Amino acid sequence: MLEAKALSLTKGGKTLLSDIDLCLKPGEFLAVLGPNGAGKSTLMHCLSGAERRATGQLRMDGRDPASLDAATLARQRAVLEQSPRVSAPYSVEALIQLGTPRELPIGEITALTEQAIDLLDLSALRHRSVLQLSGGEQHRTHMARVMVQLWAGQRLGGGCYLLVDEPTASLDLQHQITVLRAARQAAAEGYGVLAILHDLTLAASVAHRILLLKDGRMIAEGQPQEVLTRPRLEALYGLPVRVETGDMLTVTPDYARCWAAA
Amino acid sequence: MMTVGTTVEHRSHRRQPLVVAGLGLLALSLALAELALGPVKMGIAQLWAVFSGSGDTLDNSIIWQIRLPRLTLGIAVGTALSLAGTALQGMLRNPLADPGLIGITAGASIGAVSAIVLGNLIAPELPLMLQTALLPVAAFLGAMLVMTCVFTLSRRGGETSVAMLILIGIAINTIAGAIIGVLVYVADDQALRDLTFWSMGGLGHAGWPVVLIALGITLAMTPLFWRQGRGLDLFQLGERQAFHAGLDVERTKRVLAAVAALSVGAVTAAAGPIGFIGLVAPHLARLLVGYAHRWVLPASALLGISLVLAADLVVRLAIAPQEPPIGIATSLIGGPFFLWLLTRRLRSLSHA
Repeated sequence: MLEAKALSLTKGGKTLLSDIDLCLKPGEFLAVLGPNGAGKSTLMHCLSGAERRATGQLRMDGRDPASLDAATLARQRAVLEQSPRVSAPYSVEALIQLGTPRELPIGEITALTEQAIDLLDLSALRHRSVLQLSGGEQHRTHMARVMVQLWAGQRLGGGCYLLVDEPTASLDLQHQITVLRAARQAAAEGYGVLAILHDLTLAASVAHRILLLKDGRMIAEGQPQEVLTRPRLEALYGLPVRVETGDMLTVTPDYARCWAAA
Repeated sequence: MMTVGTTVEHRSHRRQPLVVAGLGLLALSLALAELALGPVKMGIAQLWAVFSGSGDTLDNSIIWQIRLPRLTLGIAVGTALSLAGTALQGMLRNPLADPGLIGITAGASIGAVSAIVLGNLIAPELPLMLQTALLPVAAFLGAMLVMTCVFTLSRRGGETSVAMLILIGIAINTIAGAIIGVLVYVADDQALRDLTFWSMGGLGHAGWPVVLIALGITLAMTPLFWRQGRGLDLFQLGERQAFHAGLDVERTKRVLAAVAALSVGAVTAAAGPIGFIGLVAPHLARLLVGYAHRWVLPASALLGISLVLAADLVVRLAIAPQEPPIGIATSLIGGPFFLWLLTRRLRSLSHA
């Protein structure tokens, strides 16, 4: 279980996170939503162990991630940063294997790489240089790398959490689904998945639970249909929205009223 | 950003061991040439006689007193500068990071020149062993000091800024020039002589003790560079993602910076400032073996040795028995190479 209690972070006199309580269980998909600058990425950095100055209680399977070294953390969780880059022309295949712990036998690494290439629809690109790919293709390659790290961590006796920051940014519709299907499948296999998303409809369709953040504070947390209500979202984003509940929960800005107001 | 190449790694996969073996042969033949060629030419038979203890006195002293220390120092210089260059370029994701360009060599020079000038001023009676150790230690301290300054000053928002690094390098090179100028001004005649020889850079001025210290430190540092191969690969993801993937980023940076400063300090103390090897060797290595550092590091070291030995042969043989400084030869190759890199990278630099 990945758990935060009264998690707060102040940096340079500015409060970035205040009093966050959250709990991510194995097998669960939690979407973190909120306007730009709400502290979503900062929250993820705290949970991943990269940001170590937060106060409050933080536990990843009983241990504080901020107290673990990088190699231990890498077996416990895998992280996809927002717009990941690479500066050397590795092949897609080589990049996917880059994050794998060395303790794993080479045969297993190859098998996991194949699995990730299939899962993220990269077989046509596998020998291309990463720097020649489009932004979206690079993004999928990094997602594949992170999946291999996650699976490898689990084989080595750790590996329970997948944290992804805007995994669908810069992707076309088909590949948004490819990437989120990979994340969903991870949740179905028993990993705890936390994803920062912007598309509310997409989040409602994929996540078990949703956490709304604004100015570093929790606005709401719970199942999508409880959390994503019209008054709450209008207050959160400051514009008129339409929430349709039917066989699918859909949230869109109320475009007609948006343009009329302008 | 590293070079935007078209390297497709799978194609060169089986090729890499062959390339490294080929580079080994190249370095080996240049090493033999370094022993055999010169005003007195020697054949394999003569070399064999010298090393098996049955050579004549002249051959013996040419090899043991002149050419072997020269060769040994060349190997140390080539290895240290190219590995330090590879490590800096990998760690900073920046193809322009050369120990000379970012001021590390200048730092080592300040240390070494201080040791030559002030060492002679303060303690002319110092025993020889202490004097020989003084030079490398001072050069290391100078290199380390500059390395720390450069890295601290060029950090912006948690990442090291490439443009700042280069600009700070320019500033440090200027400051170092001024400090060395002051030291030259206060130096006495003997120190001035030592200093002039030293600052031209060359493999021929150092005696066995200094050469052995340089080689010893380089050999001790080489496995430390080696062990960071995976770390250098991970650095290409950026520091944050490298951490996520399991790399202790801060520790790796500290280790690599110290190891680079120590080896650059040691060889600069012995051979004087020799530019551009640390810039050119890693680039050629990446062209030949791709971007996986477990191959780049050995290829780069062998290329560094080959470049230094080739440059030394050129300066020794071109207008023998005259011997222009080796730095001229390395700068003649390295300077245009650096210009070419700059023009190629101009666009990405302006975004850095």
